[in-house]
Amino acid sequence: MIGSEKILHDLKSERDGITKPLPRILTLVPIALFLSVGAAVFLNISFLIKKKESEELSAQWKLKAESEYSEKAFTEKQIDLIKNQDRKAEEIIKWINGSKQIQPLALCIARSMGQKSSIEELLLYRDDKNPHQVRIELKFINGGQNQLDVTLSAINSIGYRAYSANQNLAQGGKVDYQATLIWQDNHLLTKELSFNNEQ
Amino acid sequence: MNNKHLACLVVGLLVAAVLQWTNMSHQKLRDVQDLEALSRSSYDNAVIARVAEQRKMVILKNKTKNKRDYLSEWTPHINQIKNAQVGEALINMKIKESKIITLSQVFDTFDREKKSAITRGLNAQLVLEDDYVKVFNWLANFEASVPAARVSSCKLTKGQSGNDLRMDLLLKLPITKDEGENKSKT
Repeated sequence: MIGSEKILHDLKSERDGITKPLPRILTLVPIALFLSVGAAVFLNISFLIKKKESEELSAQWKLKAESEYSEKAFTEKQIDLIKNQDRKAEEIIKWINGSKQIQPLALCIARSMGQKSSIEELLLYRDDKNPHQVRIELKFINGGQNQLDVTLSAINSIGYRAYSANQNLAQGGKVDYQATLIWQDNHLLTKELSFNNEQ
Repeated sequence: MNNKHLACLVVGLLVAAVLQWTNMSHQKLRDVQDLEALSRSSYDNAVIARVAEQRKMVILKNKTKNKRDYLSEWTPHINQIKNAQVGEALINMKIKESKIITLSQVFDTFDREKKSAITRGLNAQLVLEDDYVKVFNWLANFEASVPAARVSSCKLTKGQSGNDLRMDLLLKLPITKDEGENKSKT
């Protein structure tokens, strides 16, 4: 063995072409590698955690936003319902306003007649376009202008005013009176439901 | 360039690759954070829109409160007549109850606008002749018991005998739900 080792040693050639060592500054390169790998692992883990947190938050915001949008849609439906109710209410108000009881008016005219006067014909009617107005056509005999004044003041006393009046006074106190009566209490929305002459 | 240079270059490239990987991860995080900010902004907008809509609703509610209260008070009276037959029966019942003499009665229905709250109605043309007091009381009772009924025309003339009064009436009764018709349609 000793002999063979000697032989091998003898076979080694001399190494005279050894490369120059790298500049000392480059010893920082492997240090930089270790540091960067360490930092990268740490940072990537923290990024991953933050990313998951952000994704969860993002999903939560989206859910909340959807809930808000659905609530908004519900509110819009409510608004539509209120608008429909309002429209319906306006129509009902118009109808009710045009359906005010007519009996008190007729009765008041009849009662206003004096003993000598007598109604020949009393017509009270409502036009379909303006049902809140009552058209009156009154024909009576005896009494003349005085009786007409009494009747008109009786009509006024229950809240009606006469417009576009037209009257014909004939001989013998016969009167033909026509007018449009308008209810003066225009407060359509009374707090309490009112019927007839309770207003 | 010898092997040492080459090894150094490889290690340098590895460092650069690690830095790039970290940078990419950071970029992804920023993207996700941007998305989160966007979602939050979308949520904020949704809240603003919802609050605005709710405020609008509250204002509208307050503005229309009186009308809606009026509607809810009157709705039972408006819905009193479900169909034409009920209306006719009601009028006949009122006439029978007061035992007033009826000279004639004609009923027919009329249509109003389809979108209207009152889409249909019943026309009742009545000619009554009886005692002055009885006739007036009948009209008063009828108008009180059917407050939504409209007297379109009321003509009063003398009756055939002493204290009698003849009353030509044209009544309009609102029909809100014509159940009979709906059934026949279905």
